[in-house]
Amino acid sequence: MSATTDPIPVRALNQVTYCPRLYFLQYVDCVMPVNEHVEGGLFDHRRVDSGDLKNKTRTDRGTATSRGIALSSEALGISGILDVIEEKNGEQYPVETKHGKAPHDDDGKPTIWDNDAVQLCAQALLMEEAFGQPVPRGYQFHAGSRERVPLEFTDALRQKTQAAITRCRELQVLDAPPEPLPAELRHRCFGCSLASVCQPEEILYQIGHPNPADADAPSAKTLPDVRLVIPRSDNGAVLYLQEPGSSVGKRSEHLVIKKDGKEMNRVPLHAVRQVVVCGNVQVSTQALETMAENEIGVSYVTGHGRFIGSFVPAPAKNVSLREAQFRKFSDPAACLELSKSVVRAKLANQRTLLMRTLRGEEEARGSHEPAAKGIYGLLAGLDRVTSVESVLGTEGQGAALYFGEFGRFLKQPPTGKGFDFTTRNRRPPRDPVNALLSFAYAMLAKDCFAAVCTVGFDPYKGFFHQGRHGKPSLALDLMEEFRPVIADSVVLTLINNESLTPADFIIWRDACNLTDAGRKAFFAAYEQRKSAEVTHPVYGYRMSYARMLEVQARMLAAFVRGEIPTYTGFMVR
Amino acid sequence: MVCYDISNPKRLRKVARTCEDFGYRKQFSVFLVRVSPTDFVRLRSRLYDIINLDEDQVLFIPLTESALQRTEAIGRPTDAYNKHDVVIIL
Repeated sequence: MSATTDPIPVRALNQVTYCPRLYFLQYVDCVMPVNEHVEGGLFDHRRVDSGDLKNKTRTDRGTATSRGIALSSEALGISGILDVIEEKNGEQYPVETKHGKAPHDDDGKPTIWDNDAVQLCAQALLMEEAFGQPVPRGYQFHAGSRERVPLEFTDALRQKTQAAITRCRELQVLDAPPEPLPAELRHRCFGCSLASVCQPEEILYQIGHPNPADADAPSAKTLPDVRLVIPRSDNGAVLYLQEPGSSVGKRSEHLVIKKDGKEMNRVPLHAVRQVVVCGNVQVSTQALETMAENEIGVSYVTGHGRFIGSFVPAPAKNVSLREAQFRKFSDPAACLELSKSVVRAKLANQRTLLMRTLRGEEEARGSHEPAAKGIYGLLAGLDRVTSVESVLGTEGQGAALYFGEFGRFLKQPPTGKGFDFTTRNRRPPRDPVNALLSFAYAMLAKDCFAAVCTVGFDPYKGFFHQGRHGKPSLALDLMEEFRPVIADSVVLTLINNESLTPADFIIWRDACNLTDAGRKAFFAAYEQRKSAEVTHPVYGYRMSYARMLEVQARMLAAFVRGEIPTYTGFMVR
Repeated sequence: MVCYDISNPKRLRKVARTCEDFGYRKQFSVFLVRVSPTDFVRLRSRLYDIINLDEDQVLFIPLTESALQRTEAIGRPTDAYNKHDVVIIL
């Protein structure tokens, strides 16, 4: 059986009627995030879903009730598990439970949402085929308001259900998800568990709002009656494990951290978003398994901060995106465009950071700095560049100008000697500032790696850093625009606020490393920076840097699949 | 904050373990739980299925940020409350 002949779940007919994009993301791309409404629905369904009640019929006051009946139909091409089938006076009818409250019509009588009606009707069609007798009506139980609403299966509704099945088949063969709902249906996006994946506002902004009424106001922000769908930024802590010799196990659903047989700490898994293992820490298989189930990624980093690899929960099943990625990133024109966007954003961010930190007394903005002027010139020249190699060259010139001034960014403390920076060096970094920069880039690379994996990209096929052996090129590409604003900024904060002193570093032979205490301070500052909220310059709402990484990765995905015409890099104001 | 009063030791252990999955133990039957709305629904439905609705009780008390800030303890020391709960370093 191929994807196009697989039976469509009855549930999917509900989704496709509600929002075609929702259907595509859930059933073609297989993304299924859970939010409070989904979780509530599972709770209301637990009677039906529990195994011991399945396929057992109970009779109570003349009504026979069967729960969890699986039916499928080759002719219709659909299948489903029916919550409840009741039989009374020789008539059978489906009863479906929904978590929400029943909508009320103008007369104040409870009714049924259109999309739920389609689902219920599809169940009736299945029953008619399986049991060979007509099913004229069904019931929907709204757990939220505890109301049971009858529904007649009219011809119009049956046609609508057939149309939904056809629509599913049409959508299945598409390469990219259909457009988000237009502004007048935007209310449906609130409370949708996929809002953070679908990003309706951002996509609509990029394709130019299709509604002609706001042709001169492309952003939904300017439409007073449309509220922005702002997905909850992913919360939860990042757990860093760096105590040598400790081990992590799990009990029930919390992690237990032990050292020398003594319990050191317990961390509930639900409070954790990511785990970073730094150095010699053992993580048990059971713990890894549970983390994979809860979609918590585990990154392994050496004590020196080199990113070794990640343990990612089952990768996103997004094959069509990966196909599109390989196609798009083999096209030199597309690579050039993307490289330009990314380098433009990086240079602009470097210039901003430079101007901010070198703001002098006499000059309020710092734009008089020769390096700032130089980068400005490079930005102007970037538009005329015609090959990825010359973009690389421009990036290199920018970096030279930027790191030429980097030493001046560091505030020298009044007491004694602080930190010096002359040139950027690495592999290994030879002085504290370079060590910090390398460490920060490694952390950022780890987060970018996680972000591109979550979206479903292949992290090794990039558009800018091409063909570097064994490097997660795409993660590095995505990282470029964030280097100055996240990594460099953390380094400057740590040094200029005197959170770190030269005593927090060990220099051994040629290499310079952070001590344990220094690493602790570093992790705290890095996460603090990532949770800082900034306004996205294009979409105009506030989100944390951590979320921003994912948003940019998703927009890149939308570009790769041809949903939006351009990819815009993130630039701070 | 989640507090409970369970009359059966078997159920008590189950409730305690479930609470530990979501938050930090403050006292024997008092937990401080910081969860997203999703995880709250999850926690509530799990506890609902564990407890005996006639004999036991679980109390969910929502706390505001300012109420948490003004929390104090006398007697044995309690862990300092950390507002920026973004990183745990061990």
